[in-house]
Amino acid sequence: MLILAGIECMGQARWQSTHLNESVALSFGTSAAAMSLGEAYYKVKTSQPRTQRGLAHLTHLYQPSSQIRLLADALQVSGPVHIIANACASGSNAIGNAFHLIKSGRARLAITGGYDALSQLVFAGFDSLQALSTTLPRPFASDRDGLALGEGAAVLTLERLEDARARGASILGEITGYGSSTDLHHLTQPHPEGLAAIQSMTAACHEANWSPGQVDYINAHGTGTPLNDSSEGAAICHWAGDAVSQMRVSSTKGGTGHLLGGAGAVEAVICLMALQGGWIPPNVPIQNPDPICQFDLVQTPTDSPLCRILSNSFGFGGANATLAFQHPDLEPA
Amino acid sequence: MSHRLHIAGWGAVSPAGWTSSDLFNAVLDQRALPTSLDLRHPDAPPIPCRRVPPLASPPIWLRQPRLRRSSPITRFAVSAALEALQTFNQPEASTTSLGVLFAVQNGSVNYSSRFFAEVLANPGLASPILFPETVFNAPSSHISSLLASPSLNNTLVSDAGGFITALEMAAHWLDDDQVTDCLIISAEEYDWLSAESLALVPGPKIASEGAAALWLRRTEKPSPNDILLEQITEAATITNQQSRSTAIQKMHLDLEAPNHATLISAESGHPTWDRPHSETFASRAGPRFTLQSQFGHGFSILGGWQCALACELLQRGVCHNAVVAADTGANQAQAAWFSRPSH
Repeated sequence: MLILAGIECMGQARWQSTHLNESVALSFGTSAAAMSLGEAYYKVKTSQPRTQRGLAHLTHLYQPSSQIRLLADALQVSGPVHIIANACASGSNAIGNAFHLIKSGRARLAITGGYDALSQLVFAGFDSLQALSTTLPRPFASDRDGLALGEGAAVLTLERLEDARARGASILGEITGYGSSTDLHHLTQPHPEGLAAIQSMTAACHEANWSPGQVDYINAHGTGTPLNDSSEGAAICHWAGDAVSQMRVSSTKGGTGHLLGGAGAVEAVICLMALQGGWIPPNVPIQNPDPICQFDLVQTPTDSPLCRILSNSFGFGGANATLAFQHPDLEPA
Repeated sequence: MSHRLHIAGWGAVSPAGWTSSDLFNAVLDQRALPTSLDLRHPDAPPIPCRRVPPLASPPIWLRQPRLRRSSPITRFAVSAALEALQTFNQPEASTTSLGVLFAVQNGSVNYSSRFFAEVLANPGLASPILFPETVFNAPSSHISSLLASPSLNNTLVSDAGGFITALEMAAHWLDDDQVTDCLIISAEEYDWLSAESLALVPGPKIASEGAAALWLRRTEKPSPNDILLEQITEAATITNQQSRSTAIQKMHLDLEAPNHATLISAESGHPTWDRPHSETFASRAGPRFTLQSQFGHGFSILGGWQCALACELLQRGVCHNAVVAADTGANQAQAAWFSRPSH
């Protein structure tokens, strides 16, 4: 999945051979990565304790660093590698890290994103926490009963806006802000008022130099679990203040499922497509929104020119990340 | 690095004991650390390992509710972090934003292994207490919670060189004013599942466990006693186009430390594995320390132990300049140069 996404991304970016000769920072997020390979290793080791045949290969491929090296070799790039494992915020944290590497001038080019594949351990883990929906995931519905797990990967190329313009690149969007914070409330439960979410949204908008009233749309973390959506809803309401009733919000996880370490990256791609296409990705339709939704929960496909988008990603361990995306035709922030 | 950065504290948990002094004394004394054999199954090969000795009594911080059910990796990480922060100035905490960077390779493998055994036995009864502790960032989350710090917290998955990568990211955070202080930690816990993998790959075979931590902060006017982070070399990646030997050579070429600086190397005691490293650094004139043959394969901790030893050597006046050369074997080579110029 990661390599396929990477090849598609590089085809779209149209980097020239001169780019490939430069150092390219690789910043990726994953949570469970290739856990299924670890599971296969465990099963062999416990059923045939003396066996070693084939295990070196599994051990090698299980390592996230090997996965990124395979991607780098497939894309014929090399450079410093950062693999961030901040649970379900990993993809957004990795993109935010790459953004700061470019913005600070520490890197001129970056390939970034997130990925995760389903595995028995992860599925049973979320089930043990009673976080999985037994019906359908319905983010922000008052009768929501949990999330649906998914798997996937997304890859982005980042470069300085002036460099992209100079080479006549087709620019899909500008990252203008990144906020990250840590929720101290509980290892797996967010603070009921979403204090860390407020902090990450505020930090992203501070860096982008945006006020809440300028944000056209928020792609919420919106897992569909009772605790996440009430906490995130409260955070959006508090953060948006007087602008809350005009704030258009949706979660795309009702359609994609929760892609864990890949979620933030795939949702970043959804945000870029929305910026390009001028539409708002809808929430799955729900009958009764949670009363916490004082914002405009978008439930039908809606055409609308978009200039500024926030994307939230929150994870176990209290990892919170918010990315700010801006339409490339807007003046740089 | 555009600002001067200094190490304000450090800590280590290792088979030598629960402090960085234990690590330093074991290195200086060249003390042989006990190796035990773990036989997890009658048909399985015995696994040589060097474990962290048990504490005589539980530390007071274990009373913190989030730490009560934590696995050894979290306890090692917390102990090293608190040792690093022992001089942390609480009154200024209101103006302090403390970032946390946690470097790890195997992670909470004790609980992952137990949880997966429960899943295979009966997925409907697998423990919801174990699962959250299996995620890579659980230990660093506990540390931020313990220190009441809502600032940036990243967990980086890598290998023996991951600590230097995390140190570099911390330097970026401080340079960019994202935090005022940063803890860099690495930790691992022994488990047969990861230890047996050492038999499958080149390099040292004795598994180890523990943690290491540095407290990094900006300094406007370095004092004579400050341990300064002078340089982190650019990461030299190992790829299909660039061999491990070439990456190590690049790291060495990039290094600006004086030739007589003390070298704390990543050598393992296995001549074939060590050759690219020993040949590259052969021209250096300073004293040389190695940890792996004495402490075992610490996975992600090795770079952290190297840095903690560098700080001990500098603080005790054993040297004025120390270089930590981290060669991960599979990913990238990167070095850090520390100094205590006015000692």
